Amino acid sequence: MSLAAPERIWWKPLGRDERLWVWVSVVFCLILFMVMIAWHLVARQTTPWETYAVTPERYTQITEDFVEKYRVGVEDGIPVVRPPVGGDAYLLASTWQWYPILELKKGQTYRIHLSSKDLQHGFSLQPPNYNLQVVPGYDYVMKLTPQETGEFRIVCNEYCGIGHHTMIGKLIVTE
Amino acid sequence: MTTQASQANFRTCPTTGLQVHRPAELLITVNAVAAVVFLTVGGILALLLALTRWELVHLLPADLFYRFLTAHGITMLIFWIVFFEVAGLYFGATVLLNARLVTPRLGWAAFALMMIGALLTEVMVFTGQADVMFTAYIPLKAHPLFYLGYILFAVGALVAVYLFFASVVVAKQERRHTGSLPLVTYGLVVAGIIATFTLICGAITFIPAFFWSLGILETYDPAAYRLLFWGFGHAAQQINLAAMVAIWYALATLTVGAKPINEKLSRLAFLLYILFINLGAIHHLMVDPGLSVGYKIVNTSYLMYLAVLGSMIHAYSIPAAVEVAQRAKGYTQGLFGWLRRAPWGDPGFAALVVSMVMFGFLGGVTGVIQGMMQLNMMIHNTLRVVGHFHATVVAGTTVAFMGLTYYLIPLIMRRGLISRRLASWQPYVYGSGLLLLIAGMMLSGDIGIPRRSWSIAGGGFSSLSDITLGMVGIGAIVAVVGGGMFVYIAVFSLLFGKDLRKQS
Amino acid sequence: MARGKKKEEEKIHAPGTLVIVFIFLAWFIALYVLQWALLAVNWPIR
Repeated sequence: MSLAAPERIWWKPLGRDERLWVWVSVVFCLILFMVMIAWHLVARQTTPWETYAVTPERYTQITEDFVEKYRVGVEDGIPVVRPPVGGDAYLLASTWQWYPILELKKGQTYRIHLSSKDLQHGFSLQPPNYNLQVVPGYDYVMKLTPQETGEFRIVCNEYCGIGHHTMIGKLIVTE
Repeated sequence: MTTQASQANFRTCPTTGLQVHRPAELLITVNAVAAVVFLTVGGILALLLALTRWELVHLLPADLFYRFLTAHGITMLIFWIVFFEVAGLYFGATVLLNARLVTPRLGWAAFALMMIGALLTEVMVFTGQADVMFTAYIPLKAHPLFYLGYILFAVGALVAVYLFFASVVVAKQERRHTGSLPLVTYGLVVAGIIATFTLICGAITFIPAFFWSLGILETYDPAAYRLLFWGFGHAAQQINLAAMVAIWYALATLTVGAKPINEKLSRLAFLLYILFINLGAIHHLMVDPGLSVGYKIVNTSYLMYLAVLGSMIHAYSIPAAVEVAQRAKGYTQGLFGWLRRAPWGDPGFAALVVSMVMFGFLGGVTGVIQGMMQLNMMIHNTLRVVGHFHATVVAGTTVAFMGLTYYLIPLIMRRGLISRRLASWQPYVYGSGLLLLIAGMMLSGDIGIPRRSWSIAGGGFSSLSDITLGMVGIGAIVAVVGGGMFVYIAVFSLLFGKDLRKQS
Repeated sequence: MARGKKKEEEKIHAPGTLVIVFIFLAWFIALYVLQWALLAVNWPIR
């Protein structure tokens, strides 16, 4: 009866099957923990951690300067920017736009900065399906190495008002 | 205070022989009824939302979709669940302990605060003054009364939790029961402790937000808000976890007479929840800027998965208790003879199995996996997350609460079920709808489809989304039918069920 | 036997449950490995 008081002394040894299951579970839990640490140390994919404090105004200015310097074209009013190979690239989220369109080279590693001008947004790169949180006041840096050429979408996946679903940007990867 | 006078407030339950405190009984009923009302509202919204995400149907316009999504989240995750939990806490502290609720007036005050808070928040959302989602991430701004509603609700719930603890302590002092607490009450105490942490976090989150929305506080760091909010938002679901597991033990006893195989092990598993489960509040911040890797890994793993260990223990000890009880009845044939001969037509048992299987195999497993720091990059804010918490909160907690309700109606509200046959089908109908819904959401998430999005046009998603979002839509229709069956049985039994008071 | 009483207490006979929980563990591990495999073939990101 789990609805009534237990026997007076309920601190009793475990049965054989229970001991087996508890030990299997303990080992399993430790493996889960270790894998996460090991993966972070050695694998090619781990969650970016580099962050800087930045005001939205300052970040907007940095992005404008970056666009000015490396702009190679324009698509639907949004500049297309080719950052230096292996260098820094800036992406600015605002309601409801990703700015600018980045043009990267396949197999090269870029430092892509993410931040927001206003609300929180969600960086969701499709189809690779990488998703990062974009928070105003924080410059979040990922080191990304595109593996395929083509056009990719950056979908906003954090609710940011009535036009949220229209906030779709683009990332171009060339040979 | 005379014990003579208070003794008159008790009746003896004809089925169990327990002393039932009448004022407590009334409060249990009132809180449970409020919960079911919110469940009904949330269920109707759920159908509208799912039929909008099913892009072939695309029912609602964008503004209503976001508004109803905000309402659905808050109504279900907070109001339905917490009102029912308060009913459950009062049940655990009084009926199971043979004891009284120490100050019923405080219980009514708590109920009033919670109800005023809930209504305030709902009104703000439905009038379009708080289209900010359940999470209300700063700097998205809602009407100040929206935050005030949250705060009042949290304070009210905190009072109810305090009343629960006080009643448990007084029951012991007045020697209403002897020995250790029953395991179910013990589990509810665990839920109460987690709830205290949660509700204090909620107050810390929303009080500054309230002043910020009034313009008194100039800035509120959005990343700090996220950290505080999830101390409330995710921890709130850990109250569900503890309460649900306690109810699993209760249902196992009520349906097949199961006795915990080892009280020590089950209690230790609950203790692991108290110590470690709330570290998991960080699961929502795995891909946030500003937090270190060490901080993320220690917290997301509940410090080496010790809370997961607790769940693994319950996953063994509850079915084992059922198996031992069934074998003792002579159902010893083969490995699974005990399971074949289980009371599958008992709505409580059906709910227990549906809840445990779906919570474990779908909700729990995916929760641990998507809480892995690196794996979360491919999951964060996609429909995969939504699939996970529908498996835990809906298929797990809600189904368990429904199963318990089928016993509370005759035992506490003292009405016969209006249709036991319908009740015995209900968990299966609801569960199968949810299975389709959850699978659809998870598969949608795996192809990258975002949560909280009115349309995915232009996102370049795989055309498989037509199928996976269709599963969400159809699953929701079936689940809402199953949910409707529950509401029908609960409401009509309460109003028109056979009056069991006349028998006793 | 001197430990006879202890033996008595340990006799929890639930072989079916043991099978069920190991099926659960296998399912858990399968999903877990699959999810890491999906990440391992994705674009490098740090």
